[in-house]
Amino acid sequence: MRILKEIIKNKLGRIAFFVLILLYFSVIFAPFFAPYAYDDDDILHSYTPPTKIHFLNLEEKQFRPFIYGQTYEINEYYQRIYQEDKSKIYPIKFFTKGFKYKFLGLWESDRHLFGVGEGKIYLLGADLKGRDIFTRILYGGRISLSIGLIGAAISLFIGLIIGGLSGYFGGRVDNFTMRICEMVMMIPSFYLMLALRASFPPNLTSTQVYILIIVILSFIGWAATARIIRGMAISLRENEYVYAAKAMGLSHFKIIIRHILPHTLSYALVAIVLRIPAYILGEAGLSLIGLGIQEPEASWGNLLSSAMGIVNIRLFPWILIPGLFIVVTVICFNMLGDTLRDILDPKRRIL
Amino acid sequence: MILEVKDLSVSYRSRAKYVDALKKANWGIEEGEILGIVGESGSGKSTLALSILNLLPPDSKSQGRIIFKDKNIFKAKERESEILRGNQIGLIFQEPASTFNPVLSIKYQFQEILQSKLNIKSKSQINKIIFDSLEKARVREPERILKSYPHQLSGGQLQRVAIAVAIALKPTLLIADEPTSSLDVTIESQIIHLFKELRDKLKLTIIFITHNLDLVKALCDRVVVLYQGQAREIKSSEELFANPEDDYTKSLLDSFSQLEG
Repeated sequence: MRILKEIIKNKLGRIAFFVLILLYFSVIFAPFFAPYAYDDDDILHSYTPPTKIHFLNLEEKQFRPFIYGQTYEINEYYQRIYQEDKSKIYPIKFFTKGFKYKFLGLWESDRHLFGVGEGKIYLLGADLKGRDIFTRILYGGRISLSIGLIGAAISLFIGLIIGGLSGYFGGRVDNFTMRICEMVMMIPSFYLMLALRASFPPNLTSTQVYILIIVILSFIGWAATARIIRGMAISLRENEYVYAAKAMGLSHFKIIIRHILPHTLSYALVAIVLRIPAYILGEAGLSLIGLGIQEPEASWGNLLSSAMGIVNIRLFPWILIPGLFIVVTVICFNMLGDTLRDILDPKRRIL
Repeated sequence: MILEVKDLSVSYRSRAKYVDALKKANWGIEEGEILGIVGESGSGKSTLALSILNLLPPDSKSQGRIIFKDKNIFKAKERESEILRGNQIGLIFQEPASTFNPVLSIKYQFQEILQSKLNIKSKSQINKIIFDSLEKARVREPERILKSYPHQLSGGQLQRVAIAVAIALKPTLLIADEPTSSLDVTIESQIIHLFKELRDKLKLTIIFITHNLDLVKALCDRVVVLYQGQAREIKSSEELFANPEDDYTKSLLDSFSQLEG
């Protein structure tokens, strides 16, 4: 609680904290915020640009948000040019009925924050198959943002245990585990990631791929954490209260859990926050080159994969928007991590 | 003899060669006795305490035997040593402020040790033992002290709590490694008094390690004088002060009386 207060006092920390809260909140309630389901395609709206929202209806003399319908014509390069069809007006309704979903997996609901009834609204444009990119960003965020948290938590957990054991016991145990750490750290992580992914069959279900990505990312990530925790454990084990606990005959396990690891937690908290971006980027990287989350499932990485061609970016620049979300998230986590470090460790002892 | 040290030599590795910390120490302690171990810094006092608990660092070498209740301590398995520490042999440290984990409350640390060492699950039973031993260690305001964190208490209070923790496990032997060196003189005399009381009431055997001859005179039944890892003289304390034989003991007593003026 004290930490939370300090974060909010800090300017950068406050911005990062609230942006992240907003992101996670909207991602958790994705079906509610999204006007469509993530795999609702409509080939008639392929690569629709972001829909313009109008407020002033001159004919009916009303002031309320609405959109026009859309038509397109095909130009000499066989490209669709979308235009507003002013004869059709779809008012934006709030808390409207739409597709059915399970609210938080608990009860069924069909309420959505907004919708336009018969028309089609694309806040951030549409992709090749005419799926709403805004919707897919929300659903993709569920995967990208949760992989970051879970992956960082798992690798931190492994790092704490291995680093704690190796630092506390020293000697041969230490030597052995640190050589393994170095072996993991030695290989450039992206190649290691590709190699690990390639060693599993390609035709896995989305859930399997999701778990696999977490496993791969934590496998790569634990080593760095373990090394730093080890260093701290070596200095902590020289504390007299550790000797006292030994002299009292407390078991090694208890000493590590009670008297060594808790003292590394402030570092661990900073480390976990600063490492989350690496996991988000790792997942995005894998999905971008088609080894991660597969269509029609969305993740921020595979949303960007359609933006790999220069032609696509020239013609439909809005397909880059998922990248913006990645950038914002990564920056926010870094800012939050820096703030946390300043709060927990004013003298910058550790990092 | 409750504890017997036979031909004990301990050496530490320093760079390439081994440096002797203890050379062929030979002595024993009877049940209910307070044995003083006197010596200057580096004479091997603390090494002695560590070797009795079988806690010597891994890069040290030891020879000889320490026999506690007819068992050689060095031959004990790790699990047996863990039971030996605390439940059979208690240790009190020099620096009471650093023997407690600074981030956990006194009560929590006390409970944790009792739970894992005595295998008692019931909270009320554990609390009973805690208050009982705090009273034996003459801790005032036990309620408040249990709630505090180590930095909120004075050295004297912490040392009493440390003694309470040690005796809560009902050891037969208590090793006090310069327990009063970091305390002021009034507290020191109270603690010395407490040790005497514990010996009389709980029939504790106490090894009292110190460099202060005053305390030895006041407290100990017998004294071992250590110098450069060797036991120079082993005598009852009255006799030691009355007619010292060894040269080192004489000079030690001389410097002591010079200070007294």
